[in-house]
Amino acid sequence: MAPAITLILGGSLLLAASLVLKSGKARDVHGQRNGMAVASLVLLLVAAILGWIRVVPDDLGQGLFRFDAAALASERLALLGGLILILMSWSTAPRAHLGEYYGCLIIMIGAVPVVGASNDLVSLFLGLELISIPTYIMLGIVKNDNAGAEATIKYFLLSAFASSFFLLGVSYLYGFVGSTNLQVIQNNFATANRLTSLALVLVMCGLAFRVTAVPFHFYAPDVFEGTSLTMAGIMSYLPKVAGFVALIRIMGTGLNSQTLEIVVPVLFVCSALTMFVGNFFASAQNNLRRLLAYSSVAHTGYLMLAMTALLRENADPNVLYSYLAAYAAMTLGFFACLGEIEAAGGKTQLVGDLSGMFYRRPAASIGMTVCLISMIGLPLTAGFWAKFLVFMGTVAAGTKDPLSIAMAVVMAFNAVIAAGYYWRVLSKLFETSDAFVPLRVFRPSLFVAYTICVVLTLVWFFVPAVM
Amino acid sequence: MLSLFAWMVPIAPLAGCIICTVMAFRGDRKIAHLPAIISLLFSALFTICLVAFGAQGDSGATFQGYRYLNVGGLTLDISLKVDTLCLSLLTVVTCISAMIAVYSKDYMHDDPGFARYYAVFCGFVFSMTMLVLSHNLLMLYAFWEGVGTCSYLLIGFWFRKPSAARAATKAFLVNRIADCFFLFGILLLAYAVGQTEIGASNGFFARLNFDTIFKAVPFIVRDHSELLTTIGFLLMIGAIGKSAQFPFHVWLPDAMEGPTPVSALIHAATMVTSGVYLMARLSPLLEFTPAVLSTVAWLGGITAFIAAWMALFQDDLKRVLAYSTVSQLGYLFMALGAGAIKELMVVAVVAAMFHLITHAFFKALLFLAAGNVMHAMGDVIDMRRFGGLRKVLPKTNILFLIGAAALAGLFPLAGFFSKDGILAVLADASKDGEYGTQFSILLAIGFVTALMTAVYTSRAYFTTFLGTEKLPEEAGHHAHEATNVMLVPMVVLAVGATLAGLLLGPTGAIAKYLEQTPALMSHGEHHEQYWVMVLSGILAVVGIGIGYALSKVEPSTATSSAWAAFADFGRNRLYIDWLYNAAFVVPLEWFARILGWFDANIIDSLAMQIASVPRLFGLMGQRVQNGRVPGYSFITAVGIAAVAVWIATR
Repeated sequence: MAPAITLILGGSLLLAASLVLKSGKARDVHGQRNGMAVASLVLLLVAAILGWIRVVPDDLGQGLFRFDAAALASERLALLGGLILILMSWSTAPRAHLGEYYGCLIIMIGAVPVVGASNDLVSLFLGLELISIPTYIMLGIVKNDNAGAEATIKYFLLSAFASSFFLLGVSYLYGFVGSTNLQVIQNNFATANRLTSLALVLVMCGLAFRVTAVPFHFYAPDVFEGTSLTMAGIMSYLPKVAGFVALIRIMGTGLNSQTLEIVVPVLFVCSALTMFVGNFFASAQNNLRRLLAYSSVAHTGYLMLAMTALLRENADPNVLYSYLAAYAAMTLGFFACLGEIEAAGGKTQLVGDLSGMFYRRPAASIGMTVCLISMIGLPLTAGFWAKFLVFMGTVAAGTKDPLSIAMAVVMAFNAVIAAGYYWRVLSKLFETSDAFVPLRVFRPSLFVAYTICVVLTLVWFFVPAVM
Repeated sequence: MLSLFAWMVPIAPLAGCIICTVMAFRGDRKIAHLPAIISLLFSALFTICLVAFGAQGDSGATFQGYRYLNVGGLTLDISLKVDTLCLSLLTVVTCISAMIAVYSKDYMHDDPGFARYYAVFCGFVFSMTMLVLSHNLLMLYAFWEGVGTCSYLLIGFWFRKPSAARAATKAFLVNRIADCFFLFGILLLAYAVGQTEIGASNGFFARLNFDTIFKAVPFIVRDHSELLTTIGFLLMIGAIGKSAQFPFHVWLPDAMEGPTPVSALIHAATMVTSGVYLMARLSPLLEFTPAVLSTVAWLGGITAFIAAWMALFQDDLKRVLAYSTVSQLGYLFMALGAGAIKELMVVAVVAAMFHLITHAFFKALLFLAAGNVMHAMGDVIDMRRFGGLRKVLPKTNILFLIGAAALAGLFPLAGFFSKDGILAVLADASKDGEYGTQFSILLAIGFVTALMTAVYTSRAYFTTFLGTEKLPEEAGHHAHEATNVMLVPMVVLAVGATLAGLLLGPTGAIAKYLEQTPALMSHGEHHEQYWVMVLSGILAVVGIGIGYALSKVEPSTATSSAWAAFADFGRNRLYIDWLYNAAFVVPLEWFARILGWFDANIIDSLAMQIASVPRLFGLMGQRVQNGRVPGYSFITAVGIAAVAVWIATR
């Protein structure tokens, strides 16, 4: 747990630092900004080193936490996302609340491995709330206007609503087994009945909020629109990783066929709805933020399809993790590019605002192009393998279950719709006109952030094994 | 250690390619040659290390790389297969490309696309080395397309020039046609290997590993020998397409629209020989398909002859060299074809590889010398417009002379020995009972072509460098000798063109080296035939005499009508391009126009209708997304209730 502890403790220290930071006129804004970002990066580095040198024992035990593949993968994903997010925050963090901002961000990053390593419903819920609560704070501080306040309240209310479902499901699980230990619960799945399925479905519903699955996706477009770009990046990535890792944690192993017969169709319907809603709504959008929110919803749909393949043991959990990694690179990369354009004085609210951006801001536009191609899922990018592996996993069940072939068709259909609206954004970038003013302000941190994303997106295509 | 060397050979140019691409995007014009030249020198160095250290150890190793993909029963392992056959070509590729990269530094220095040039150049070397090192036929095919793409990009390097763009398209399309058959051949081979007990246990990709193929071939011969012949023909079409053999030879002369160093590297020394390499690599398979090999021999013979014929009547210096390349490649295929007689397979491969190596040196040298001429003459390359350049370009004169003498086959330059090797193999083959007659005819063609080679080479040399001095006005006042940066690599190539034959051929070094390749183990008896050597030597001298005479004659003052017809055919490329245009291109263009109408009016409008559907759905659904939390939670609750009811009814 050393990396998670480091991050959470470090995050708390940064929070505390906001008390002693000078405010008012004598305040050295730039120094504080750089200091905070560097401190965060150092924390991340320490956590990464601690994770690197850790020796995982052979016997993983039955305790509160367990270091299996899911834990290690979630830690890796959190650190990867954390690196990019901190770089993105460097120049976009709200100056009035630097300590709070970085503290919350680091705690969120640290909470993902907590969820990933949890072997108990209580610690799992703790980890999930460690992500939710800082999110409320951050949503409140990054944008002090009406839209920001509305987004915060909306997110808070709906989040509480979803958490209640999660807890309801958890209480059923506890009632069924008499223990909150996940291994004990999973050992009892063999004798599961209809009530267990209901419990699992309720748990899924609670997590569906974190991963923005239909019908819990409603907050996403409103919140994305009402908050800053970096915050939108954070919200589209960290809760999603945590949610899926938690799903794998709770029901990744040991489901009997009777339970699968109920859970898998629910996931199928949910995934199909998520894909369709995400893609249909996104293709109707001219507002770039909302488009990205719906695109994030659509990606959740693909991930849920991967989840069904995983439940039926047609796919490795790695399929899910590599999809999340590719997703991190392409989505956060795209947000970083947008952030740079915004920092340089461009507008990024509507799709039309990007018109001719290639001639105004070539580097960021090339970055966006790569990320968009990856989101479409075309070759030469990581997104291709991500989608392809999910697709293969879904088709693999096809010999026994015609429904999963139908789902594969739905996914292919949705990929085409998605290509339509991503391409619309892409073609905007390269529109020509004489009246373009170049954007010249340079933000090294954002540049580094999206360069990392673009390079990873391209490299992962050629070496998918390390994804 | 060897594994590292082997991997560094392609990785170095890949790194160069990436750096140069970044520079090209940044619009760099000054230092893009540095990463390229350094990476290519490294690549050459690692190849030499491989040759030096590999000679002592085992020489047929496969170096595991990484597992690219493992999904749904398909496993892609990227590995490198290193043996003496591939090392011999690899040495040529890396060394010559490093030399030409150095040469290009000054040749291309004024070009706005300087960085782009080097990026594609490195990309080509990467693809070519991977092609040569592939352990798998499908992987080879991937890089086969890679070199094709780089070739396309470099032929069309000056893409604003319509003739260059057209030549690039032509090269690409002609290659596509051949590659299509090649791919069918590969797929059919995978199927055939899968039918045997060796291949059945392997996945689709692993079946096409060369080792697996060679193990499975005897079983395929036993069970489906006709299938193997079909496969052989399909693979052969791929090889002759890339190597510009009749009837696919039309793209190579047009490819001279690219920068001259590119012509030297890709369209003379390396890429066009990959067809020969493919045939040599697959020789354990092809020796069971004599029908294919005798076809190859005939195609090679026809190409060698007609290309030499066309070369005789070209006025463009680079085109003479281009046709000469086609003709020499025809020689290589003639030699390979002699493998139709099973005992001669190894000897045939050795002869072909030997000529391939020497040809790479002297043809690259000739092209670079032609590049010097072009550079000095202000991009004029028509031999009628300049002459007597020995004073203007004294060093280039000597270098061109060496290259030309080697190409003409003068003793003791490289071309003499390697050409003699091929003719000797053909002479051996002509003694065979079954195929004797046809190889006797091919031997005769070989001798006639050797004579013609000497004629057109010497004509080109004498017209360009001897006689009265004549400069075109484009040359202006800056008709100057090339810089040292350009001359030094040429000197290296000239040394190769002079000595490679003598060192490798009569000593038997190349034969001994190549026979270490496991697939080429079986020893064939090779008889030295001195009459062949003497005859080809005499023909070279006679040819040079005729060439000197021709260079004095004005082309318009032809005497007899037969000669005029001969010249007319040669000048118009035997009307083959015209025939292709009338028979294929024009009808296909009409067909494409019909399809284009269909696409624009029917498919497009349909697609637009379908494409608007998702947007419509989205707009309809937007009502639900009204921004009100109670509404949201209501829909959510209804959804969950529905699921609960559904579970309850199960």
